Amino acid sequence: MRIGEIIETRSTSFVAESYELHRPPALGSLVKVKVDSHREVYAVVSYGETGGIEPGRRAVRWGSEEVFDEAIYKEHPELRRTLRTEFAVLSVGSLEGGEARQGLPSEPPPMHYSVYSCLPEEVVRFTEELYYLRLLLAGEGPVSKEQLLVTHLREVYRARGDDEEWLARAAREVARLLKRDYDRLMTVLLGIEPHGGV
Amino acid sequence: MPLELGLISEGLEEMARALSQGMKGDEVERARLLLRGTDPEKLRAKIEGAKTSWLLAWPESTLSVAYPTPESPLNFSVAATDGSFIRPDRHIPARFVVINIGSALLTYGEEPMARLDSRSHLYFREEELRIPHPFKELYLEGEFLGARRTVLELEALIEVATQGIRPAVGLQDGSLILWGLPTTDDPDDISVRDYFLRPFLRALQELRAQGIPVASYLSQPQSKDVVNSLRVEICDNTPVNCDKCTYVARRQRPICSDLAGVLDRQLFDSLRPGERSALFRSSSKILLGYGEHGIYFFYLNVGGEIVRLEVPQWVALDEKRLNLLHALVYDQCQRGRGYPSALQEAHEQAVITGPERRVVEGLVEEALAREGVTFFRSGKAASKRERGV
Repeated sequence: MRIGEIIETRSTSFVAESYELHRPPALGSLVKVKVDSHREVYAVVSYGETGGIEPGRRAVRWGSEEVFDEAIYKEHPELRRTLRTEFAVLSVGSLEGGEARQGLPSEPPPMHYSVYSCLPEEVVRFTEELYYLRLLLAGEGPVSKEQLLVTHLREVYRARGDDEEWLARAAREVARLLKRDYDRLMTVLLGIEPHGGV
Repeated sequence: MPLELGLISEGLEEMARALSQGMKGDEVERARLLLRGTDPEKLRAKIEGAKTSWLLAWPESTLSVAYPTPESPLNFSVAATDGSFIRPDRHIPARFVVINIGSALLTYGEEPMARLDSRSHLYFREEELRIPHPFKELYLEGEFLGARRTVLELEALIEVATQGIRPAVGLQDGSLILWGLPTTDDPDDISVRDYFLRPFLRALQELRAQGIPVASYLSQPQSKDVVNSLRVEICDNTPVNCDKCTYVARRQRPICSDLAGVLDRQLFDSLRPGERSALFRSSSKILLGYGEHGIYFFYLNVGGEIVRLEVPQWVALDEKRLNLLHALVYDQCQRGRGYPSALQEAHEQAVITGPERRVVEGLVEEALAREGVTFFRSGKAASKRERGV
């Protein structure tokens, strides 16, 4: 499903404007861009934000005792045209000629191209290998890398049909990557514990 | 920071002191009393025979009457347009004008919807920039540029307003009176006036045919038309003729000059939020050419201020249309925190930003270069563009 259009693009990441206000793809979920007929770029959603389209126009309070939440949008229909939801993603790989390759794409996906959500089978295929987790740990963004990793692993776990075997494998990979940083490692492991309190 | 704020703020304090001392509180009160005590019938008779140098408001009813906000319909739409332009630049050898018209259509009720849009118009051909006149060199600039923008705004309003659910109203920012166009009986002046008036009146006629009441909205109006009529009211010369003022002849201060500093909006300050004033007809000379679209106006307390609304005759004299407009403009100001939401959004669509202006300049430069026309910017213009340190 088409969910957004690229409005910023670079080698490591890109930003898209969501087609629907307030409906960015889930944090940590896998999305893709069809660059041409035989190449797709895969990326993980790392941030979402809603604000005014015009740079100088900040959102103001419109609600009152009687009018609040969704009713505000009914009373001020122009808000759906003056606000926008954006999301940022970290590029983690590509699909070339049917073959998944993890790592940065050779070039940034083109500006104004569409961003699609991934089907569960695409998530399953791309996440078979776990090399790409390194890119999530190296990415920049307002969300901490550990929390991004936690939400991503839980998203994939669910998309793979509560795949305990995959989650255990991913946890071992994370343990390898963060073996020199106990606190960060525990943040991730506690976060993905399927039967834990989180 | 080269701006010396210390020096400026001292001056500002002095300015504020002078302003507070100069406030004409008593005069405003006197004018309000006059408004309440004036018999419209007698005033109309006096105005009819008066010769003044200022614009007079023709009262349609008791002057001090106030109408409460009429009920709004459940489903309705509000259309608004606004324009901005890039003026001709004498630093560029090519003469061109860009007018950008922004529009907003806001639909309220069971199926709320918003449509925001803008359309740019480029004028560069001689016949587009030149105002037809047998011997004068008149170009699309100054007042003419403003008149062209108003015409484009009104034409865009037809397109936008007719797409919304009914009832619908159309709003424009500013005035429906095309100030600045020549008003003499000189045939050449008339042809210049008609050059702008014809499409303007055609657009008003179309809005009328489509059943869409239209109004222009003036925030912080500086007009004094009603106060001027009160000056006629208190004048004791018969007939009223400023050219033969007996006070001036005796080298005395005319009796009416006490009211000279009062604004209409101060006069109508006693309107409660949502209330509109009595209706007045404008006597601007340009309106002689408006025919059945003659402009009337009233004042409205929108909550934070008293604003002036101008409407064509077919809105003014039709109670249903006038009430709809009154109700929806007040509703718009409630939604838009003191200014109509639709006008605010149309304005946002119309604005040409600094970077956009530079893009247009760059495109012009490139287009000229492709045709072999290169030019040097004046030193001043160039230094403003490249602000090196």
